[in-house]
Amino acid sequence: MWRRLVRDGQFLMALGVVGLIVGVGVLGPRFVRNPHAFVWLPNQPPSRQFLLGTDPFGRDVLARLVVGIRTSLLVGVYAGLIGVALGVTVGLVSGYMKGVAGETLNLLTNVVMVFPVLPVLIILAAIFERRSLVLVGTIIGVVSWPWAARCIRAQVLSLREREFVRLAKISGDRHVKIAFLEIMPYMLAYIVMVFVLMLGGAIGAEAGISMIGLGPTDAVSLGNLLFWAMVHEATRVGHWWTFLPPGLVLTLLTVFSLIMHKRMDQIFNPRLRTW
Amino acid sequence: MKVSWHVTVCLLVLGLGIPAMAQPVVIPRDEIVWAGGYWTLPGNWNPLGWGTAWGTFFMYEPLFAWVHDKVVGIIGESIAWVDPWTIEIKIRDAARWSDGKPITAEDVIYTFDYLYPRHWKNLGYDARRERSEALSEKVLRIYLKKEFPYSRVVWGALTGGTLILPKHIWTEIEAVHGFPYEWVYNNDWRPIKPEWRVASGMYFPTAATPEYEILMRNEEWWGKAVWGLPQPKYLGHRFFATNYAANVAFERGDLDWSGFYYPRIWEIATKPAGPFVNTWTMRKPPYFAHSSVVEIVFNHNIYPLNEPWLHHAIAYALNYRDISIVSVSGYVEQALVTRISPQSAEGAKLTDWDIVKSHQPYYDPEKAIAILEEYCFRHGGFWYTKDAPAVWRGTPVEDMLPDVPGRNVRLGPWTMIVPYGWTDSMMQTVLFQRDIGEIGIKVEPVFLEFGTYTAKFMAMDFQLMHFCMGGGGYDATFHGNYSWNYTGTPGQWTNFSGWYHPDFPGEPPSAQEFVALLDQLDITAEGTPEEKVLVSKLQEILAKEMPTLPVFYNAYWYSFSQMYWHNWPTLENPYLQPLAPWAVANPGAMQILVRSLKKGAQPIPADEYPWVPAF
Amino acid sequence: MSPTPFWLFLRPEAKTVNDAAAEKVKVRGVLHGGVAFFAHPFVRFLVSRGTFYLLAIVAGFTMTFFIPRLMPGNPVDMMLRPAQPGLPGLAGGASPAVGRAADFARIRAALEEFFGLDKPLHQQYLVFWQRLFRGDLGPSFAFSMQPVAEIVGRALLFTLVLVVPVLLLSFYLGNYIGASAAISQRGVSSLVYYGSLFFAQMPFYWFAMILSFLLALKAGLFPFYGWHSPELLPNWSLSFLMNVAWHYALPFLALLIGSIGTWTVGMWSMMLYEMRSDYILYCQQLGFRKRTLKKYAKRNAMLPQYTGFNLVLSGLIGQTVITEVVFGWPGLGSLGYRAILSRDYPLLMGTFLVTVVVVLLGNFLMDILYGLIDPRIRTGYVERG
Repeated sequence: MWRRLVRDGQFLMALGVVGLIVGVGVLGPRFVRNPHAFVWLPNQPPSRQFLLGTDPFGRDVLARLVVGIRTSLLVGVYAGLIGVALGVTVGLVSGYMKGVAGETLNLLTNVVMVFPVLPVLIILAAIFERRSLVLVGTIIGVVSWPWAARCIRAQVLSLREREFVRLAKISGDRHVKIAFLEIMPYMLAYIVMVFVLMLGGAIGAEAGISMIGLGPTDAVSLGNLLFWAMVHEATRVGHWWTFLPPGLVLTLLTVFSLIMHKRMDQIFNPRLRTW
Repeated sequence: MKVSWHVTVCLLVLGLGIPAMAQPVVIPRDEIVWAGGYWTLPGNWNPLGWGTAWGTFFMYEPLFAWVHDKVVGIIGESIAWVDPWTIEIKIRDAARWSDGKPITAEDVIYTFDYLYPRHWKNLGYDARRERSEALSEKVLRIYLKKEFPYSRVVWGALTGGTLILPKHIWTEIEAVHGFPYEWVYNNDWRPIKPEWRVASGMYFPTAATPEYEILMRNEEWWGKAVWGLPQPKYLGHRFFATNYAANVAFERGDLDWSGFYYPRIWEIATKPAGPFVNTWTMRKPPYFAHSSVVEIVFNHNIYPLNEPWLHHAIAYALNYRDISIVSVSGYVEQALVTRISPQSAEGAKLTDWDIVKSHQPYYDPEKAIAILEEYCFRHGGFWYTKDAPAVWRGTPVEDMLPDVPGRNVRLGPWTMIVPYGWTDSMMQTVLFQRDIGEIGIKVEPVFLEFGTYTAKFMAMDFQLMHFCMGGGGYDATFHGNYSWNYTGTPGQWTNFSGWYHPDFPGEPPSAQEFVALLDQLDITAEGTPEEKVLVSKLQEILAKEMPTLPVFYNAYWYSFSQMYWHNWPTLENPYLQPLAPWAVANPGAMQILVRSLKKGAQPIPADEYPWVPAF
Repeated sequence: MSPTPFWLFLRPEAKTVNDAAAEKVKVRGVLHGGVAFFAHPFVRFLVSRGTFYLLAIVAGFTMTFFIPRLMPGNPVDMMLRPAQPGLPGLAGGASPAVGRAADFARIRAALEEFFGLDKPLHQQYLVFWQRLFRGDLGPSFAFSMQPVAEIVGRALLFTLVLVVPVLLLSFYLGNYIGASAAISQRGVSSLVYYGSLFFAQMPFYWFAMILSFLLALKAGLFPFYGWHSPELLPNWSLSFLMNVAWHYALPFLALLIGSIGTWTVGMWSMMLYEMRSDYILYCQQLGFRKRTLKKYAKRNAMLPQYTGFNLVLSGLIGQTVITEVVFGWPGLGSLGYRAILSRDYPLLMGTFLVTVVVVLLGNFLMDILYGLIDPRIRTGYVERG
């Protein structure tokens, strides 16, 4: 199954694009100028010296973009990890346990899921004094875990009736052990898939709240770049170099991680495979 | 669900037919003055309420207005000190309410003595007044308490923006609604009781949505016998959610009177409204007059932030010109060390230029380091004080380097709080970090939600603070501004640095002296030599101690377009001081502006007045 | 009008023993019918979903109650701010004329008492619910103390006018494009697929700003801000309505293009999946026309799409925030943004409350719709949860 994934053309292409962006985010900051340093005149269009020009402070836009990618990825990873951790736990338990416990957890999942996310994010973000990366990632993770929980729960529901689980039950293993040791390994691929989805979603969500000014207060992120571009009226004054690149990178990142997710879904779930 | 096409056609015809019969209501563009920049959205036109709508300031009128440093009469005709404890005011004979009744001394007394203090306004005036008396229908006298001869506070309140309200109507309103807060935020111009819609002003609200407010001229305005009716038939105010939208509107000529920040305003020359747009300084830098002071506030409860030599060192470290260019397109100028802008009437008269000459800081990082070296030494990448007092304001001061002689306190790293979202403030704070870092002190900007920011400074829970709400601009007075910023309980919307602290008299002694001098100034008559001496002493203390570091005068966002209306006040036509649409503290002046506007386009010739870029 | 007690209608006018017996049967029949009514799987489904949403609403409102009380910065402190340029606050100017600390303390105490902030928490909570039932959401600080309920009600109308047509039209168009693309040639198919994915995932605010820049600023085809030109006062004339429609176009387009993508992508996958299922292949063998097959497949493929309504609705509500701000469309999003900027907590809470209710109600309606459409729900075949 994994082998088929690795040989799939579309998946590889999507992985390539995402990988390239991630690579830029991880390694790039070492090779660019200091994104906080005032290196040149403000508002300069792209030139050979400054490939993406300078922002209204006089800082290198390319450097800020590269560091922004890293920041957004970090937020995405935090959010994804938390979302997956919470989601897998809740999903496993609610899927596996029949009766009141399972139903209550399921109810909780649905209630949190059905809430409009953005107002909650806005309010949570406004409470905290200084919003670090970890905080923003945590907030996003805490708000988006229901999705993971739901997906996981569906899988667990179907796996629950399989023979190996019954065997484990007959041999007297405790429920927790069954849930985590027997069922979860089957879902590893699925969990990875869900993580990829959450990563993409979290990066988009971070950009969303940054645009309204409620993102991380002490870091450069893609959403932050868009926020400053909007505040400096970049579209009205025609400073496309501050405005287009962050949005483009965001779109590519989210689109291609979604493609990755979809290909994984299709390959792991052969009925969905279209070619 | 298949809907028969007959029904569809009938519905369409009905749907389009009914609207077609109604006539559109169009306001001709050349009959309305569009303003923008006031923040509070229309919701109530009650001058006693919290956050009144813009139209209120054209609906009601004050007694007097400040035009530069002169008191000009609106409803009032004259005001004068009869003796050190008595003021006499005469109201214009022609002044009338919209229901025909004359504006009387009773109305004025009722407004000042009852209505306003009841709603927590003009409390300083209320504390100093003994009683008021109406000598006739149009003349009244106010008697002050013995301790407050020639009180500036009282004079300021009487000549300030208090809007006069009709006694015969408002006694009725209160009788019906009882407890004040319930009706304080209820709109008296909504269709509750049309008989209560009585005011004296030139414009009455006609239409309001959360996007705009439109006022229509009062054709029966009493002032038409004195000044004539204002030319604009309508007065409108637009609200924009983003600066971007406001500036696009201004560029296109949709906005006549703008109170918004337009970056690099010389670039507007190429836009449709370009030939008609002008600013106070006639298109030359800095384009805008002085608004409140942008300052770095030091929390005097923390040692060594209270030390004046630290303040001076930082003052010499800042690259004022560069920060101005980068953060606000070069619009702002460095503030005087005496804080009050020389553009204000009192500033022009009373600024002691000798003090300014000898104490004004400028960009000189080497001098900054020299100051630091006098009191500190470098150790391990930080500055440490050579010595320090053992206790400061009840807290023991820790010696961070026990094996080095003297009590050594490290300078920094400190945090500087600033509200998130105020982009020019945020940019300035980042640049402060850069410049102060250059002299070896680490300062970290902390961007806080505005609620958190205010909570922190009200609780004095900060180290350094970027602050720009302390007044000090073109309309500042020495007594008023200094009292606000340096006296009172620290943090509670006053005395932000805690330099003077009532619990710690003598820490430092200069603060006590300063407060005593201010109290003396309150009862010193204006224009006397004693006044000048007192104000000079105050300025000297401020220049030496520098409890807050005045960095810039913020730009006063007043710009306008002559595409439809002309005769706006400018430096070359200074019949008024610069007035933004949000200058509601001086509503009389705003009213004078609107009634001075003349209809018609008047482009400003580009060869005589070219746009000069600030950098 | 007091309700007539239902048992009045059941009171038998027993004339004979047979009549009495007949009446008894009738009563039992009604009761039985009542029980049967509630035993019907669809009704059970409605009740269970309804209770669920009610719970969610209560949870949301409770959270709304607690959050501003957990936030730093007392709203009363906000109000006591002196009137500075650009900030709402006590009109009266920044000057010592407002008084010393003791006066401030008095003012603060009075305001806190008025807003009920001095009462214990559980009492405040009760008052909160009481006020909600009266429709009183408090006064808005940014709107000169106008009642929040009025402001939010108006904004709600604007948001619904924008969101509902987008939802419906994007559903129809997206499914159509998705279905057609799925069964067309491979090249076109994947182009449409990736294109829709791109538009679906693009940051909507970024897209809104680009649209505004290109079509409004540069090309001048559409107005760049507001819901009508300021010279036209709102009324029911044709030219005013046309003016509104012209202003409506861009925000509508921005939201539509983003939403279509989501449907297209989903429909495309579902359609392909359906086309491979047994019954289609069987019918194909039987020689059915492609168009008929497409119709059958589409009907089945659409079914799971309805579940997506919930997700898309929630997403749209989030997307309208920035879209409305960028285009100046005075809906809930614009309102929420303004409330955040001016720290107008009553307004922020009011907006949030209404948003929660709209989304949850919308979800409930979608669930009912799905229940009506999917015969399995109606007959209680599938346990939803």
